[in-house]
Amino acid sequence: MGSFSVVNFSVVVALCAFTAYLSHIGAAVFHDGIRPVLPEFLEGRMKRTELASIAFGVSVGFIASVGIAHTLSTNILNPWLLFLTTDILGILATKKWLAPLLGGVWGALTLTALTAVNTVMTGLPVDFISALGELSSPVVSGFALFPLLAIFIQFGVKKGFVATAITLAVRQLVVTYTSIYPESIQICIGVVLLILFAIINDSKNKVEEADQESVFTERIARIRKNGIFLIIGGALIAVACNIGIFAGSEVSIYTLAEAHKATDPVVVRGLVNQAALAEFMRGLGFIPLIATTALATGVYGVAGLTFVYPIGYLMPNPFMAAIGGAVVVLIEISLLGIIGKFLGKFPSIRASSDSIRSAMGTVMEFALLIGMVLSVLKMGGYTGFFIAVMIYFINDITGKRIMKMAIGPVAAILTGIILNILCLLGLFTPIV
Amino acid sequence: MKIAIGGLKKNEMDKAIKEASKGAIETIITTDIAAASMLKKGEVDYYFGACESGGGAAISILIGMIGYSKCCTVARNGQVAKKADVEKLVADGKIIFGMAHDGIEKTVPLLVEALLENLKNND
Repeated sequence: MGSFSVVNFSVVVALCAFTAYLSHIGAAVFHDGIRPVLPEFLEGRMKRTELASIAFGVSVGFIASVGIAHTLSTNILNPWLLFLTTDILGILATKKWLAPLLGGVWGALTLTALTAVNTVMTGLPVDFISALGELSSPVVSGFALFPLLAIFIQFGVKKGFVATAITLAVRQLVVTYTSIYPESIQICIGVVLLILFAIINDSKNKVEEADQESVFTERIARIRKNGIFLIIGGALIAVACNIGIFAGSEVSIYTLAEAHKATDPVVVRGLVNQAALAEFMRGLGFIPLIATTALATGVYGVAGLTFVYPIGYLMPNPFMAAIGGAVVVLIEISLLGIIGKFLGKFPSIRASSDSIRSAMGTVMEFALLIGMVLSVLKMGGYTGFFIAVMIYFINDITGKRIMKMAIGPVAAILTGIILNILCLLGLFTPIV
Repeated sequence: MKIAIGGLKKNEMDKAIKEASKGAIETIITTDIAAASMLKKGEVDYYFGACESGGGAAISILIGMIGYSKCCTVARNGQVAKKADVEKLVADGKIIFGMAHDGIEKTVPLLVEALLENLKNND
């Protein structure tokens, strides 16, 4: 759990120091939008300060909303909070040694701040930390709907209905006759149908192959040259995931938080597996994006194709996780060229990546919004509902300054704080 | 005028462009990679793409394949695009426009208006 211990502290500091260094030498950055701009700097067409201001501009909203909200709600660190900041720090650093120093300081700061904030919050009259756990309740079932939504987006209503009917039927068979989580099966069927529709589509419309291979070869060579750094990065991330202090994204972080709270080892195992599957599926959805930006720029992702996250969750101990993380990154960078060629041949798969990412965003925003309602009802009944829903509407009407993905958790946290203030004023009696 | 659409929430983007231009602008829903080659061949004039931040996945491939100088972010997440800024981007010759997907409905009308205005002035 995100508690303070020497091991946790060292891992987070080492991880942040190292990812800041990766960004400094231009080997890897986390933000997909900084990756293509980095060559402009590396090849001398842009100044360091200019690049740093771009990096800050595209990331600050994420760090402040998604980064902070998911971590405060779950007590688990996330890549937006750690890696988007180390992207910026690595770029800002003017000397090689300064990058890991700044990164390490950031890691130490986030972990101590998180521990301090948690100590303060658990001592409050209205206990909203345990109520925040409700945020995660709709996440597993909500996330499992993403392939169906993606099919509707990409292939229209008819195929969408067919896929929904098939998935619902299988789901009910699984629920009736077995005791496995139906969500995993749902996701698998949905993704298989999506890929099937994509391949049928491409075999109908023969497409000409774009000639990008010559550019790719040069870029791949650059990524391989930095290979050893990327592999060490992968190992460190997998260890952080394994010790339970770090999660890869919103699709697994809430499920992992639930796993940390559970006491029955069978339930814990089930939840961790579910989190790993969700993260793996998200990884599949992101392959085309991360692989193509890496191939087009020669700069890799800090977490690579993100398969280090599920490996980290699943490994039995940190040592095995380190080996697993290293091997995963090694395999990823060896396969980059092949992935690039494959995506050139099947443009619908590339298009599926866009619809999958759209759909994942939509289902997660929805799930976290319902989670917000459940959580504020638990902490403050319909007084909580009043406050949270008004925060949601105010954000919506004033130009969505807080991203849709973050507004649920942010509103729930703010509601908890406001309820505590009301309680201190004698205007609210805690209901639990 | 023809606009290629890539990135997230493509259907929403398509609808927004058609509504804002009252059908005056042709659109094609595609991917960023395919759009890059359409732009190079002159099959489309502009590219609109949305992502979480507006400066990331939406335009990253285009920056790599067409060049940074042609690309811009119209509205980042949490930002509302301003008319004057959008007009300046169009006047500067940007052809690839990224925006945060939360802001599609507010950003697209401004952008479409600026592009149509620009077309009229150049005729």
